[in-house]
Amino acid sequence: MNLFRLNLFVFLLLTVSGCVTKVSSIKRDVDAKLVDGEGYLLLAVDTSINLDFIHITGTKSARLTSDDLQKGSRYILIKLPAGNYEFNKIQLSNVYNYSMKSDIWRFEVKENAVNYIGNLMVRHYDFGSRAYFELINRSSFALQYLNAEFPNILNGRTVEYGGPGEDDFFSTVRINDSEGSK
Amino acid sequence: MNRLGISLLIVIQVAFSNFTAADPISGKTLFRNPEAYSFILSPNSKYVAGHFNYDDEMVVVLYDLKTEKSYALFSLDTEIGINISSLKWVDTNSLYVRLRLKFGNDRVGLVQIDFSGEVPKPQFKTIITDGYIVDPMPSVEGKVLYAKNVGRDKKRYKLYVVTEEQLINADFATAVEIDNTLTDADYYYPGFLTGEMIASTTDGDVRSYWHLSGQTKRWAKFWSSDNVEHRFVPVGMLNADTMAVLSNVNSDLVSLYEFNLKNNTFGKLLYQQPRYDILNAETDPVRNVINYVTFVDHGRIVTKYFTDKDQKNHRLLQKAFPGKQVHVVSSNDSTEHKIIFVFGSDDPGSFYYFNTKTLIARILAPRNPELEHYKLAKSDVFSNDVESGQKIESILTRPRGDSNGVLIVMPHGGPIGIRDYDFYSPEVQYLASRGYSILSVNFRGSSGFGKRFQKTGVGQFGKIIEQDITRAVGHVSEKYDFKYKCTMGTSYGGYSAVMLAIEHPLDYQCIIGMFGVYDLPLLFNASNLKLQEDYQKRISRIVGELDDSLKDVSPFYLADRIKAPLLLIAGDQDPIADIEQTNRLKYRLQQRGAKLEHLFYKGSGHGLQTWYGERHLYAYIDDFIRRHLRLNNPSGDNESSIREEESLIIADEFYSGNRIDKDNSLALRYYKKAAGYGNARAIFNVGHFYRDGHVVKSDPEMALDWYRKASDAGYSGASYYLGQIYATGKMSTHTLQADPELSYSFYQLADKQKHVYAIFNIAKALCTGSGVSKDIARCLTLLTISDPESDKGDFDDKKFHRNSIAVEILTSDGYTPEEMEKIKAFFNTELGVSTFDDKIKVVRSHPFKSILDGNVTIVTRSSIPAVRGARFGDNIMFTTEESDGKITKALVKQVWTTPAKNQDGTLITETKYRFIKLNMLQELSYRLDYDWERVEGVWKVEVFSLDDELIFEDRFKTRLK
Repeated sequence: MNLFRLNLFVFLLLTVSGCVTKVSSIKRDVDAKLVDGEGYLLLAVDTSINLDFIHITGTKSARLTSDDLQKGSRYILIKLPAGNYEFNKIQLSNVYNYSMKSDIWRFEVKENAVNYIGNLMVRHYDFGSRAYFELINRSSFALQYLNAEFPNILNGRTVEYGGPGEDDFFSTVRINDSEGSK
Repeated sequence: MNRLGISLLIVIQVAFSNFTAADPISGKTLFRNPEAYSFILSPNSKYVAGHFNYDDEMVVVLYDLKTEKSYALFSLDTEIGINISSLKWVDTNSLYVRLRLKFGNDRVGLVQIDFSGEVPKPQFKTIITDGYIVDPMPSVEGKVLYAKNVGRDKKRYKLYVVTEEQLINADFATAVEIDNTLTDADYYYPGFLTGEMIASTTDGDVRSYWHLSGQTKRWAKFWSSDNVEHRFVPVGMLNADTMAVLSNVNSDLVSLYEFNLKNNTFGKLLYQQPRYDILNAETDPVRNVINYVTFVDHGRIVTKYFTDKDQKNHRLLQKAFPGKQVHVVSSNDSTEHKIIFVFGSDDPGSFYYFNTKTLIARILAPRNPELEHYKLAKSDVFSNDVESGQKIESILTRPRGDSNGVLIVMPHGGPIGIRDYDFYSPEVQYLASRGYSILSVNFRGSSGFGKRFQKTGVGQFGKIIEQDITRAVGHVSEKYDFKYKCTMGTSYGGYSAVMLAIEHPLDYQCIIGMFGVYDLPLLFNASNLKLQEDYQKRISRIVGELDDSLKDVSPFYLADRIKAPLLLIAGDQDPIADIEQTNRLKYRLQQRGAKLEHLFYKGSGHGLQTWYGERHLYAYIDDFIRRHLRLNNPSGDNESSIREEESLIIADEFYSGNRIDKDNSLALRYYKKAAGYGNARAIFNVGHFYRDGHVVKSDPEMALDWYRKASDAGYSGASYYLGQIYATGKMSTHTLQADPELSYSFYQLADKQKHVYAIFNIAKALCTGSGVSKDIARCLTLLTISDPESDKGDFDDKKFHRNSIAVEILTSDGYTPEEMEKIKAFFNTELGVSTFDDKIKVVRSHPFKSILDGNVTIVTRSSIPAVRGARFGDNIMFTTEESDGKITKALVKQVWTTPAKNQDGTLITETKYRFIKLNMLQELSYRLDYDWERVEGVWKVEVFSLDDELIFEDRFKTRLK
């Protein structure tokens, strides 16, 4: 390998690793103020196998780590800069990883809102490479979860649907909430 | 009266009822598999093969029509999850059987029957080749037309004419291969002329039909369509160039047409029913005539025959079985032997052998013999105008006994291309036997009435569909007086049930929506995969195009108009109406403070998968309606026993939380209700609430009081538990005064009440002299399990429990050396433990490859990921000097000390005695199953001898990433 190639390789390595931020789910309902231009992202992961990471790309590259991706079902709440994102890669705890190359894996994070993007279902079959992925819209369950676990973070913020497609659930129940408080 | 009439009269008299018309029928009786599944006539018409399903086994029976003797060919234990999915004769001596296994691939085989002896001898021979029998070719003895899968990832079939032996031996090299097999055929149609074949292929929405000509030996596509409204079903060849097909391509109704295979065009109309689609037809290619067509008229399946002889026979059968639907389910061409199935809305049906020459029909088996004891409710089918001369048909079932004044309007699912029938329905009979009237409506959009009728329902959610139902409700309301009306339905029926109550809030007093859709735009965005074009198109074909107008007919957006109490039922694995549909309506209604109850079934899809689930569901539905409408319980001799049974099933599910969300408050309410009817297990379970302080204030005395009542009522579990409480002085977290004598007497009572394990606790008391004089000899006799066949409970469970108690006895104090010798001798003879006093040591040990979620990962002792499912430990070989390398059994104490802490700060430990095999590698492992175990730290394992001498010790370290 010549010196130029080596330098390029090191540069690329630094560039790539420098862009991907490992993120962990927020565990405590403390409303630490968001930095300007940031929003919360809420995702549920329901997986039949431990995952090593989920890599999302877009306005910022981020990696959800295995601590939040154990076999079972759980919600993950993280902070991200507002913008457009997509699921890029999912790595199972075995040798298999999967690239998600389609519009249906895109989502949006709005500033100063809690953005629910869906319940990611992962099913891995047998010992082979077959796996199934689907992002299911379970907005009402997500809202119940937020109400129960993160009332402080919810306070003064709207919950938005940021997943693929359109859904008026959050805006509809929000109107009812405000009607109810009149 | 003709002979047929006489023979059937005898059958009908046998079936007379034990119960009165007003008796409610238990869910256990209604919600169960039918006992008789199918009967098929052998090609020589000498035998009938019958498929029966009993509680624990499935049996295939051979019935000799001449001698009227029957022989069991083979039986299957249904508990292992095996089912017969296909059973057909391939010739006079062989049956083809396909067995569906709950776990694993189908098992397929031939049952070859040797008829040479006095008793037919069956032999099952497995077929290992993947494929299916296209045509048993009954006219060619010993040969079948078989489609063999030659594809790998995708099924591709080659056709062979094979002998049975070639099929069994997978010998296709010597079989006759059919030239030019059609690649990608998904179905080959049997029964065409010799040398001719018809097959179909599917590519997306495009379905194509192909003809293999006997003359050209080539496959030619003769029909293809991507129009999902088009029906095109090949029926049979009429001559070399002309085929009969069922189709609606050139008509509104599915009708029987000629189809010319030379120019691929429809020919003349052979038969059209004026109002209904033809479902099925048969032609005779030799005589070039239609044998019969079938269609559904007023919910009943009607067969129209075309020959004088068939018509006459059918008239005779109809006369002999007045009011019933009669169908030939198995017959051989031009012979007098037929198997018929006779059924109706008030009759789950019976199979008969009918001889058209002798005109005698002989019963083979009723489908559900237990229901023969009941008089079921009969439905009445009526039609009424909806608009501009358009008629719809509806089915009203009224109770045979007293009406409770409630009409349940029950729209069907779909709504497009589905319909209701005038058939026996366990759900309808359950409700009718409790006094309800049930109305189901074949509204516009339902199948069987032509293309236009079906298409009119598309995009009519909350519109003409509910208008049609409302017209039908108006029609029956004019005729009968109903004090209350409720709506109830599944899938689209769930949606419709809620919409009807939204549109007519004054008319309906309760609503039950099951597995329904309530937010129509969400159907288009239920998941990211459902955003894809194909799925969106499929939804549009039913709901209409996605736009904001769908909100105007979505209960979620109209929730403030729901006034009646609502019961919402959903399955958390529903792939069609995702549970989100129900949950968001529930969320919205809770916001509005509506009267709402819900049952979310865990692990359930679009409906319940078990009969037990159905029993639970309908018990709750009946209870829900009665509570909200303040109805009295139905009258009947068995009413209180049914209430007891149903209160218990409701309570059990709220208490366990296995199938629905746990709710202790509701569990206690229903246990108390069942206890009120004298149910001993319910009385016992009420005690748990006072013991644990759940819902009620913790009160050990009150708990004991309930336990004693349950024991007095004969519940062996209560007597056994009281024995344990008084033996240990502990009742869960409560400390009580131990009373060995009282404990012993409760164990004795439990044994008398046939508790399976009580005898071992009696043994322990005798060995230790606790509450009774010590009697080692009797103790050891009671611990001996003699004949597993005569056991009261499951042998393995019983043995496991006995072994645990035996270890408790062995590790107790206070024995003389002679007594201890006797106990050790027992361990030696009964449990195979030969080593007690020899010094156990470790020959070798090493950590094994840790297993994470089925994938082997090599780990060291110091770097184990603390993830759920991680398993770590050692492989160890123990030995003693005296064992001389032989594999013998010994007993040791194993202690795991975890890094997790108790509330008092001490480390959590797990201690258990375990049987080990000397001179053999043993696995000694820990598996992280719970969240509290996902901690970083050191896990210590220690193995001690019975004298508490440390034999082995190792440490493992977990890490959090």
